[in-house]
Amino acid sequence: MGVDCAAMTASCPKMFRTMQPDGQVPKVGRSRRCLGVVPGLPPAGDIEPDAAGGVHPATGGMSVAPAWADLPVWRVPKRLASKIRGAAGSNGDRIWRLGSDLFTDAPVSLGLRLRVDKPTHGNVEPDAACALTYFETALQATQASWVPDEP
Amino acid sequence: MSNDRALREVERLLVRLHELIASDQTDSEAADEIRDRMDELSGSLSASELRRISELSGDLYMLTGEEIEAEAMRGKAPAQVHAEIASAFRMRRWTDLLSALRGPRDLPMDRVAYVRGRAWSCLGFHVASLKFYEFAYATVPNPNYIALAFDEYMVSGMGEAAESLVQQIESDPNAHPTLLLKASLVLLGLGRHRPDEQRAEVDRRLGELIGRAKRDPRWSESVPSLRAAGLIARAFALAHAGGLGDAESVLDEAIGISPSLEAAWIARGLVRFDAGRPKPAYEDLEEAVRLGASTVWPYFLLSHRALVSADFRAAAELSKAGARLAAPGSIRAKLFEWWAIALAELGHPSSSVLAVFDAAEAEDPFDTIIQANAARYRAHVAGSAVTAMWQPSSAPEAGSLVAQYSRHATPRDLVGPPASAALS
Repeated sequence: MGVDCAAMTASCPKMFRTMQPDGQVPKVGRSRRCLGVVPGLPPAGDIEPDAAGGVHPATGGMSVAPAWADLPVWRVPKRLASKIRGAAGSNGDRIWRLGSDLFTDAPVSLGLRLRVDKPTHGNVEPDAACALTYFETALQATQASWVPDEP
Repeated sequence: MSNDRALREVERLLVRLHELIASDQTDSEAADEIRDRMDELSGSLSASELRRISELSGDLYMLTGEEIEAEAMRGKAPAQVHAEIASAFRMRRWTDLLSALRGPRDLPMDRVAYVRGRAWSCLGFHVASLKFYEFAYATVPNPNYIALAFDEYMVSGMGEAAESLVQQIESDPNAHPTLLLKASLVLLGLGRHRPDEQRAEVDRRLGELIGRAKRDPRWSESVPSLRAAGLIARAFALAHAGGLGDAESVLDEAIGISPSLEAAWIARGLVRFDAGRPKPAYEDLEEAVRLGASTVWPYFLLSHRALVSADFRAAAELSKAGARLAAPGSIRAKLFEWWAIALAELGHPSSSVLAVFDAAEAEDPFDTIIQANAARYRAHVAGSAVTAMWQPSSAPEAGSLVAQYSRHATPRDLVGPPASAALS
């Protein structure tokens, strides 16, 4: 399926995530370092599908932070340690940004919604019950809207 | 996983991650696995705990010479930073101290690492603290730094790492007496849980370490309480092998070196008791109590003596003081029983006496003497005629007292305040 979300992500909440690059965009995959989620019961996974393979709002999703300074230091590439004190992440990763609005509960794009659980953390979740694959496709559809943003 | 356990695990993983970074494995699979595990655990941590982990990560970069100043401290004059460091250290404001250390400073690296080790240790981060002590020692081989590392190994339950360090010290012909002494105390702690055949070997190694320390011309450079504690450990080993006379001589020496060390008085008192010389034994134990003894044995022995000599006021005070201390349940039960008897004899209200008897029975529900005395007192309160009021408690058994003490005494019990106090 194709989800056209370019117009929506431009005005979605500003969020940051560390991900491996795939050329000029973040790599898609089921990893904590990719654009995607690790299926499974949190905290080992990001979101747990039900028996039918469906996922639900407010049960987990893809972790994001409101600013690069709020990312855990082990997710900030070590090559930035001269600028961000304590950075100890993989050098192969980059910090990416999406959106420009306030970091608050709000739609992100078609099928996706940001749910803020702490001032320094939120999850991009399905906005309604859907198949895991639909949710993953919706996340993948935001790929071109993420831009590298590092100090 | 509880919040605290998650925090301890994240600390351990962060230290391991920095070890990989220091060995050029920042982008290795092992490092990525650690980061994934930290992600899993981080959901259990509060925002302030996560901030502390970030700060620790920045501090750990001092180990590879890549530390940068914290943004909040940039632009401050080193003199101002030094004043903040000194003030926070003296006031034991560990978080403030760590913040100040992240500013521009002109202090020796070993000193910074040592102070950081102290601060992180006091905040409960023992694995990280150990890294700073090790770094301080690698920078300037001051034996006190590695002595502190021993403390962290023991506190954080890293017995194997501690034993490995003991072996390094044993094989180093130039090891400073402070390290030999600390190693002997670690051996004492490790050896007491081992079967007798292994214990004898541990005692032999302990004896060698103390012998080397005493022969070393730098012996007097070690703090007196540590020297005395090493001698107490040696006396335990001698007593364990049946040499009570030799043990007593070693303890005479320990008391001569550090007369205010309560553990030395307790140990000598128990050795004398085991040797069948109760009179001087009681004098030593009285001195230990005068020094504020924080282990149960002197209170246990002295309160029994007071009770059988009908000095109920002393018996009440001593058994009450002893019952507040950590001890095996059977010992605490006797102390509660003697306290109850003393209170009864001093005419305290029956409700108070019964409450203390209840505590005694709760500590050891199978002690038939306690049960009998409690039952007689209850009958007495109920108005029944009771001829012999108390069933006598047997005297503490001489012959195994020092063995019991050595089995329960920790290195910290022997040495008194932490070795770090000597540095501050």
